[in-house]
Amino acid sequence: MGHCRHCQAELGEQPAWCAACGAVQPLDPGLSHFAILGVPATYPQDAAMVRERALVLQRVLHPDRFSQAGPAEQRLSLEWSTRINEALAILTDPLRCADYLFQQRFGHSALAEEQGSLHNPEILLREMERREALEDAALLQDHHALESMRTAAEQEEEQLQNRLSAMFHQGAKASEIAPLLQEWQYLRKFLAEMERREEEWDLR
Amino acid sequence: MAYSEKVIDHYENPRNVGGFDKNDTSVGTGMVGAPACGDVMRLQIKVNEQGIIEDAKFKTYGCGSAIASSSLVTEWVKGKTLDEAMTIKNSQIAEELELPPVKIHCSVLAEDAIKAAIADYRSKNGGVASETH
Repeated sequence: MGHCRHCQAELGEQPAWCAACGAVQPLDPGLSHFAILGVPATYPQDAAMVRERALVLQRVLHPDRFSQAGPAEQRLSLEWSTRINEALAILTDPLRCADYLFQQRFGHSALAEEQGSLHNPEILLREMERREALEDAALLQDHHALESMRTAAEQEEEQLQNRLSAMFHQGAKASEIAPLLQEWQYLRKFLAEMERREEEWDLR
Repeated sequence: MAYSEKVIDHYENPRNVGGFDKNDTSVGTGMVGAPACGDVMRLQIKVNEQGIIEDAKFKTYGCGSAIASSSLVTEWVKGKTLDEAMTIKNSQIAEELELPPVKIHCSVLAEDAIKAAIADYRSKNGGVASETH
């Protein structure tokens, strides 16, 4: 814990500004999204609490509040504000949040292209079947089939979140956690593809 | 993003879409995916007694470049020996289809798929499966 760059008072838990004089503090680029928002690095995140924390911080740090301040303060405010928005976007998205925690623990994302092609036959077969079923239902414009697929996919998302939560809690290995993240990423793409198909029908 | 004419041609008229019985010993199946894009690709080869790939099929769910890359590879491998097919490089696919840098990974996927299919065929037929990645 450092000292205020302005009044030298000791800084508390909250790293963004000095509790004594209110001066905005330099941003340590190494701070995690969790640390930026001052929430515990756990999974899942309470989205309402994350939003509340971001709001409280933005009330003080938003660049609009610094229109009369000097250039250094304006720049700090912009830096903080940008990082807060970034942290908010990631931590309120349960899949991105899980992959972020994965990155924090294992040093790389489970979903990035740089990870190379996926060879997991279990995931790939399931995805292939899912996409085939979607194609069939889309061909027939079967709304009912689509709805039940959507419900099933959403239930699966929920199950994945619960399994990820347990695994992060138990300190599972990267090789155990990564397939769940990959599966979830596929589910996201599947749901997006489903929406795209439905929009196509509406346009016809 | 603008696709090249070759990509559009393969996308609109994909060659060799479909599949073979994956339990057939003369068939090698390669399945690979890219979760980041939601791509999933299955590429199958049918190998005759002389060790020549006499037919190939694919099924790909993904973007136009991924479909075109796998379609092109099924055309290229026909008539090749397994060793010849192993030499196909993603850079050749990307060059032929004029893929932009952001779509290079689609050609990588197709290269990985053919390598996986060959490895599957070889392991089924008593050979040593070569490492695919």
